[in-house]
Amino acid sequence: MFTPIQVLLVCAWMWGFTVIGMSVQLFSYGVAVLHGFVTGLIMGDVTTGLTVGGTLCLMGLGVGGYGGSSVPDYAMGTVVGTVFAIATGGGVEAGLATGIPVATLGTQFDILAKMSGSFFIHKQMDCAEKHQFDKMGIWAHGWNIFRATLYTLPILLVMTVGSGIITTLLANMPPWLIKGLNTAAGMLPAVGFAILMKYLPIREYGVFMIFGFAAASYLGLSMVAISLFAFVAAYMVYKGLEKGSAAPAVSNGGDYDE
Amino acid sequence: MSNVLTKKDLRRCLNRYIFTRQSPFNYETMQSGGWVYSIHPAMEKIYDGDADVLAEKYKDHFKFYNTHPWMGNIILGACIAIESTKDPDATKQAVEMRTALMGPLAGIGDAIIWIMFMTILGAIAAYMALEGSIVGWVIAEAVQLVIWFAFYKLFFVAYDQGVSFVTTRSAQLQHITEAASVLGLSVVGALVASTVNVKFGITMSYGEVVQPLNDLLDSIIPHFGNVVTVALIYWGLGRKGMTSGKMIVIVLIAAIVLSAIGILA
Repeated sequence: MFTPIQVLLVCAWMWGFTVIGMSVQLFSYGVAVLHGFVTGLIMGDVTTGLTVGGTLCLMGLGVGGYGGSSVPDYAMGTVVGTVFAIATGGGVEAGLATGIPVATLGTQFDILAKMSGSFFIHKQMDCAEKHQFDKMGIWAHGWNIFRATLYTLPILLVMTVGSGIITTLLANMPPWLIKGLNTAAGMLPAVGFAILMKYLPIREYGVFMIFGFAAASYLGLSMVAISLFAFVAAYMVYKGLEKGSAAPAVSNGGDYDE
Repeated sequence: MSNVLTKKDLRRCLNRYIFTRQSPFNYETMQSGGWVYSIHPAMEKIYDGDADVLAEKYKDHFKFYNTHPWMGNIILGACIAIESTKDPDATKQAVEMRTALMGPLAGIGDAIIWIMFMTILGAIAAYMALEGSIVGWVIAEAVQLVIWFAFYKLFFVAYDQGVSFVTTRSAQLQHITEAASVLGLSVVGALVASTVNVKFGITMSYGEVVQPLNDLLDSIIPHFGNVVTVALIYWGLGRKGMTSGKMIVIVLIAAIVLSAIGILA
């Protein structure tokens, strides 16, 4: 169902991106859209790729690995979702049915890579101890390459030996599961936003959520428009804080004269 | 500050750092491996390639280190500046400063680089992608490139100005982070309305009149289902032992079950 060229190109893309993704960290904003676009290009249907990428990108908004934690890998989910959405002709529904489970399982690969990191760091420490300082790079770069290979394996498996099973599963998916995954696609973005709410100072500035919510739901403003209005609000808060931190020094100046 | 290090040496350190700042990531020392590999070109020159001294100093540099990778550029520049003084306590000071800075700078980096920009630009990229256009992603990436290169340059600024570069601006950085969170919360509020999509499937009938529950609730608060879902998940994330990974699995199962029995559309 996949030509060898397609398998090779998709795997090469996943591998190359993952090498860059961890440390260099370019192309990380809206990364699922990029994966959908490139995978769609390889599979010959950019529009479907962008739809799967856009849907999974929205699901992943706010879900970030802050402080080294492991989170679902919506990038890996997009690649798998896109190849099956296009190859089976099942469109975005097939994309979600394969992409969401893969994204969720993707967490395990992150944990596995970070656990394996112990082996690499001790090898690197040994090099330093033996004064082989330049050999340290083998283990530092090596881990990146190891991780990328680990991330590419599931893609290779589902596109070769696993493709028959997945296609059969997709063709025999019960309607309630398809409906359920569509509902999940609408619900999962809420997790990201709840994580952001936990992370942001909601006690002090939670009221700005009402501002954004009202602007979107009552005024129907676009994301760009709301960001611009919110920028003005943020700027005024910043000015207020700068003034506030300078003010006490002036106003308390003469207090101790008496 | 002694000036044995040339711009070329510094660039070698930074280029190493960019490719290895998160590797080999591990649960014992997190990002310290890439750090040691990155400072080596500078350290070798500062300490005249004395292997015994370097091996001893790297034991300290191998200690636990974890920060926002882009912010790490700044810490790296400042730490190399301290080491270049060749003060007997330089390594101790450098590692202490690294440890003191990594937490606060990670907080600022997460709030601005990951949360604020990534959420806003990710939403723009996603919505334009759903309309079949890659332009949104191109905009997102253009902004990211600008910020990324700004942090590339900040490494050199941090080296020239040392710790004072960060400490003199700590209050201002704190204010920028707070202001960024105002922007972040506004956008999250907007996304709760526009991106989350939870609708109730139940209809209620009073004799002849059939009223979908969802329409009734939306007339009280728009996007009622979205608001309730986000509130429940927010509450759930505060429970003991709950992680974001577990929560995603719970939501996934809840969505399939609730839609199968018809409570959710």
